[in-house]
Amino acid sequence: MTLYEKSMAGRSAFSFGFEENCAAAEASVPEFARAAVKLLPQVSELDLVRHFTNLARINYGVDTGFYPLGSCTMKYNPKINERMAADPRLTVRHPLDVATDNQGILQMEFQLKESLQEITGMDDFTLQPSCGAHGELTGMLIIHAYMRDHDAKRTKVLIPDSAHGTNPASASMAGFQVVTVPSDERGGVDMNALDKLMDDTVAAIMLTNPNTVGLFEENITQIAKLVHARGGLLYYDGANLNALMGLIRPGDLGFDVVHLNLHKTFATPHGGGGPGAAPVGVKKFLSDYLPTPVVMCRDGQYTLDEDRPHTIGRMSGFYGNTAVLARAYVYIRMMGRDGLLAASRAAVINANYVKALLSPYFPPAYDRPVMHETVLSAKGYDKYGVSLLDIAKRLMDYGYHPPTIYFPHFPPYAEEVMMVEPTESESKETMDSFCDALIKISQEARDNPDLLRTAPHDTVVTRVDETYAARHLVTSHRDKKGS
Amino acid sequence: MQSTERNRFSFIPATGDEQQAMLQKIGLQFDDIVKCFPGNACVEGGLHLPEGLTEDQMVEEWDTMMSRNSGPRKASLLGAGAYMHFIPAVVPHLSSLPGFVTAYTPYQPEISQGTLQSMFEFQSFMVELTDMELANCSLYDGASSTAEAMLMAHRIKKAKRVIVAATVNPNYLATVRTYLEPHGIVVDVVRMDSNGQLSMEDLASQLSASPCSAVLVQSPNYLGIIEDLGAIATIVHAHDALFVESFTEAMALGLLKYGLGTGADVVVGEGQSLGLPMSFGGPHLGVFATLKKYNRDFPGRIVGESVDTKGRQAFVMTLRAREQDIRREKATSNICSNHALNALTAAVYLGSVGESGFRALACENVAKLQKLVTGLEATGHFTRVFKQSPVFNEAVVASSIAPENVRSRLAGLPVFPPLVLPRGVVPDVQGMPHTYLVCATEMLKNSLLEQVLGALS
Repeated sequence: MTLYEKSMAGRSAFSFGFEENCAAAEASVPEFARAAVKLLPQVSELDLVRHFTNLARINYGVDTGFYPLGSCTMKYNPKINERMAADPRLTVRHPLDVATDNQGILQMEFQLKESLQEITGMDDFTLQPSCGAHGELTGMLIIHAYMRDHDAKRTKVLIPDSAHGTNPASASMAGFQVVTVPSDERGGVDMNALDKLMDDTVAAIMLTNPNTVGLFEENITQIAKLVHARGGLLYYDGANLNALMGLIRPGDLGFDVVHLNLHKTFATPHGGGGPGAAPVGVKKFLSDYLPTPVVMCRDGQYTLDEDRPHTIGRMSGFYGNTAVLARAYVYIRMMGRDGLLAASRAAVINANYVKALLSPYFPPAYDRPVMHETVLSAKGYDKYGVSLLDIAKRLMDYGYHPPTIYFPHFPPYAEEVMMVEPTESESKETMDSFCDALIKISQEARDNPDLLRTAPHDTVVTRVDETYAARHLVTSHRDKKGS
Repeated sequence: MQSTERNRFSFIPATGDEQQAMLQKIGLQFDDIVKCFPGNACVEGGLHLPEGLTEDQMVEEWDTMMSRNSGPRKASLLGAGAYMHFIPAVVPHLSSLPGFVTAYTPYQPEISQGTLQSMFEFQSFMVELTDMELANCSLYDGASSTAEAMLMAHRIKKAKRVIVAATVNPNYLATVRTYLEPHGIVVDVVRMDSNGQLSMEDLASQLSASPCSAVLVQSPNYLGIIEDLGAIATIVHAHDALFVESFTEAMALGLLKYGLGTGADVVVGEGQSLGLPMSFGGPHLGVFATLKKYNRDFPGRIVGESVDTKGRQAFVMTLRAREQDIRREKATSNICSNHALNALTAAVYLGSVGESGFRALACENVAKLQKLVTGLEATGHFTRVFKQSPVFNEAVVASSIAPENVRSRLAGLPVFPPLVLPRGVVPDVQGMPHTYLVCATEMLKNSLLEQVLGALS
């Protein structure tokens, strides 16, 4: 039941001490006033509390249980982060207020920027982008502007077939033509194909490293050399940085632009789909292209620098998602140099452990040690009439969020695959129980395939009809009323 | 298993012994796993970052840092895209429930009905408030939503030219330019008339000059003035362009007409006023609403109502074929994560203030601004510019008092001083060389208003 369906005329959760005088306000804008606010629900405060509390209860989150969603890095979100980010000295600050009155916030942002520079080996950062795809767009716009100034014939961007969909979408939104680079049989970039494609019309290559199969790009040094030698730039999609902190830095590998997903590697919550934050780091020669303003420190005073002669402009109304940046700042400060290294180390060990436990039942796409996530195949199960989707849905009955399914996809190595990313947050016991559940399900597939095909059974709703939703498009209460 | 040493890192549960056991099962040492790293790029001797802090140390460090911001604020004379409104306690309480906060994008609807239904309710509220047929479940902020609307218009109408009112928030205009630049789409600006509104004459002549995909108008505009959207729509549609209405102050949706009521094709804007704190610029909330005929063209995610296998009501993400994970470089936008939790916060806020409360709040904002402007004029140091033009909760005033003096006079009061407008934005007023964009919301209580006026007298 929606809030509208619980609404009762005359009920209200509103309490505010002013004399309601709508007549005067309406009279001041006679030709522009709407008749009335149509159809917001009218409920009491307790109605509202029960409504949303119960909705939160039927939602699965990291605080509820294991969330091994590959490439999403669903690590634990420390509660201290939430407390700091809710500090009114941060939340009740107007973004256009003068810098001298906001030195604390700017100091936090500057120190975060410095930490990210150190972690990635980059020279400068913007904190403005709102989430991963927004960071990608920012980075690609920087490359686009740089090439416009230096080598305008470079209008293409190379993207491996294993990349997230956001990569080609972002490159295209930044005005580039996308060219796909195939993967080789070891799961990395096909060097022969790259050699053929990398010509003087290519502006950059976008890489995720470790890539979406959870493998470290072994030829990264050669790739960087080849691309740079032929006048291109390297873009690093930081979606999978959680494997590398304190071990190796994208800047040292030759990347010119990176974006980081603070809502992945740096433990800020996903919120059911954002808000996140995705700072973008660049090497010095691209610093002038960053969106403005950029937080700086001069003689102990923190300022917002608007002086970037080649700036791409602005990516958002203000300076980025400050309250999300604050959470990441707190996380980095609490983890410190050793903690970040320990996190990446644990994330890698955990992924390899899950791979070792599950390999006999769900063979890995590539039989190499993985980084922070492992891609496993459910290919043989079709002979029992069971699909990967059925297996994933059955996992819910065991109390787990399923891994990422059907991605990445490139036959013959990765078909019907699930991408499992345990993160460093999970204990051995949790992973053991999760693997036990998947092993049991693999047996159920043989013994009672119907149990899987009709799963989940123990959730508030069973499988939802996506085709029905698309054919009978109802995306608002107004649609339901048919008005 | 007996462990001899307590874990050093409270967010990493594995003990040293457990990791050894896991590595044994894996059959490798950690160094074997990372031996594929190019040796010359490996971090030698650790990152140059400080040692980690304990939670109590963290709280103390944070406290020291945040105390460097100036004192508490109870109201804001500063608006211009971010607004200080009252946030009922129930709003942050419900929007910080861990079931919402720690979930991912609802790809698995069976265990994500909480997020999905909340998004459906948010969309429903946005459809009503914008008076449009279809609203997505959020974009990042008002500026990026506006830029996305212009890109959508270009996809539909194909003309490599858009027209933007000079009265649009300059940061929005800059964002639009950034998004459109790589596609070679020309951004032409329609000048402001003597009333502080977009010049209809200039608009008509620019529309006649050459084809354009969209016209963007913000109302209330950057100077706080309400634009005549209905009249503008008529001209825009006569030239086969899409009409994009933008707003920075969502509170205005409680009083003013938008959308179908004024002939919009797209309504976009900033939802921060709906229960979200300003937080020094973010995260805020991008609102995007349009007509159903564009349901294959709009950016961002949308939730639809459906049924489960037992015929029960259930919600699920729909119209997915536009999205980047399916369409890759041919997607309508690259957007993946949006600002879902802020959309949920807005839904809770609107549920809390309800139909009558939202209207009352909008009207109180109008009343408060009138009081502020009247009071400022009574001091003799201020006069309203564009006196005849209708406003919501912001207005331009000219003053004989210089910005540094406004700041110092207000320094003892818990208010953000108003925005200083650069010279040339509005016509000069004799003897009053300084101009300000002042804002008043329901937060400016009468007693504080008196103090503000006293300080500026």
